[in-house]
Amino acid sequence: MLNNSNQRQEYLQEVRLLLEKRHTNEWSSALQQLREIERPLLLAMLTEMLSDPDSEIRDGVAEALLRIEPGAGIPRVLSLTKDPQSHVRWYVCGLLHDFGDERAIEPLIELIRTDPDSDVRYIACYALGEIGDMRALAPLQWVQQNDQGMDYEGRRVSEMAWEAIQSILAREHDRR
Amino acid sequence: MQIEFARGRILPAPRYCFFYIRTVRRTNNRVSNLICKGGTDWLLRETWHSAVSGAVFDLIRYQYTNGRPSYVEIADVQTDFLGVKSYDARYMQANWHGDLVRRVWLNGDASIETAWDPWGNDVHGSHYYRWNGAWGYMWFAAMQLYYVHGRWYNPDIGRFISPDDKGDYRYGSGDDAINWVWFAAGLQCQFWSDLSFGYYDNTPGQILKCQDNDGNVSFYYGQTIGRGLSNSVGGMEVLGGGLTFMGGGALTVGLVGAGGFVSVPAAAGGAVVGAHGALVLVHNMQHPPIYYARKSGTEQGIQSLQGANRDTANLGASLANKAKQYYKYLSDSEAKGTTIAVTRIRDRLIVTMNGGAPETAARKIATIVKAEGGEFYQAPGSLHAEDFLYQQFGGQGLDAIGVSNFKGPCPTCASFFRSVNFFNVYWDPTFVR
Repeated sequence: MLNNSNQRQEYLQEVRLLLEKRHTNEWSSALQQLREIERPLLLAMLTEMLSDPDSEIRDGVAEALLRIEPGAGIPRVLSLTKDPQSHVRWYVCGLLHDFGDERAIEPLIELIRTDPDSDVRYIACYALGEIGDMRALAPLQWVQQNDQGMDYEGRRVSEMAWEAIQSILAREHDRR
Repeated sequence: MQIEFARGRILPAPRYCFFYIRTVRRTNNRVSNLICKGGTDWLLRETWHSAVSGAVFDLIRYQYTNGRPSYVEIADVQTDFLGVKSYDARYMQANWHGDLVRRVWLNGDASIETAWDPWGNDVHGSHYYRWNGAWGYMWFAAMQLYYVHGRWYNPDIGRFISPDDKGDYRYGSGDDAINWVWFAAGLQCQFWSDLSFGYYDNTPGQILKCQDNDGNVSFYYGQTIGRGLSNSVGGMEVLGGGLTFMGGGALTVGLVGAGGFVSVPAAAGGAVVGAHGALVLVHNMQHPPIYYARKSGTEQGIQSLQGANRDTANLGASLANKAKQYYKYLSDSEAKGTTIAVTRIRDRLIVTMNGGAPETAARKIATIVKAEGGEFYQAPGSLHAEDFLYQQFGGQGLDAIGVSNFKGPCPTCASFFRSVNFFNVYWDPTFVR
């Protein structure tokens, strides 16, 4: 672990620079460099950076956590489902679709019920369709019947909820 | 022990049924008899009253675990099923290179067809599954089953009784178990004449139309080619020569016979379906399920409105990847609310963006595209990127469009593309950029 606060700040700055490469072609190598950091230290730093004032950094932290250490990353990333920036909540839902597991179901249910942004509700339904289980059925049904929102291109949240219900039912059927 | 159908026909019970247990369960439209149980395996007979046709028919459902759950259902629709008289379900067996070699009826009767091995020897009547150990066929005498590439095959019923490596198929569900199939995502599919699509002939049943519960057509599966035999009374068999769906992106199935899947799906080019392809089992009017298909896709999991030939599918996949690549350059606040569409017309790279996208996003992508020698246009007003692209360049030899949105074109755009018979819109359904 780090001996003093200066050293810690240097490390945090290095990690931050790597996270800023997310929208460049160097993102893969940046992730590789992050993987080479001692895991407890990396997790501690990334967790601290989840409250970074820059929303793009918060998104980058979430993606890095889920790509590098999804087991430990998911509970940490879930805090961002309450992020004040809607694009952060939107992005985290997408990440949970791709990398999430059952631990994300309840926060996603909360989002489809309460999030004021229909793009967020839409993609939260999408994520539930991928990772949800029977717990999500009733809330999704409610959304299907009551949500009038649409995403930025006119896709209905209610239709995505219907798709999610079908996916969950098909998956549950196969499990039994 | 044997299974006796309601109308007097008899199906021998599988020989792996070691214990005899009988229970009866009655529900609204069916009576279920659990009549056999061996370990975790079971055999269920149900009498169904179809909610659609009113017809009564039997359904035999086998469930095997063998380490992974699977089951097979066989419907007996001997009489008057939806007006099809003297219906007789039977299973076609193909040898390893696709020749029809045996037909098996539900009562166990079988006819032997002429067949030749690759060296021209007449092998009809032989047990072809046993002849070539190099292909991984093993005979388990105690169970009277073959073990074929990790799957169990029952010669009594002429079918594989465990799923292929792709896993989670099922069929026979729903009230109208024969005429319809259920798509894994809850859609229903039905065979459809392909003449209206301008394909080669009008043999019924070559196009599989799938729709949602509201009757909206969701997608079509492509045409089959390379059939060694086609027979039709409102249906089709796919035997011999392998079954290939047009559209390398689409799907392929290796050797297929109505008797079951003889091999794992064969890859042809980039045609192996990705993890996002949904599995479908196909019924038709005349026969029980005879093959399965997956929603069109490539090995990268790229999806499209419909399968296409391999060149177009490959082009579409590369365009979808390109669109996603541009999308990656956007910040998250820019990306939320932005769709990028890409095409190539001869040497021209053309990229468009939806009208409502942030200006910063448009400037960023325009800079990148122009640096690559391409052309960039942002759609006016609230027009969508792919819609605008098609309207501007559709008449200039546009073959395919790739879009960045993980859901592909919006329903309105998708309907428009279908209405103009342009199906080559491709997208990557994963979210992360």
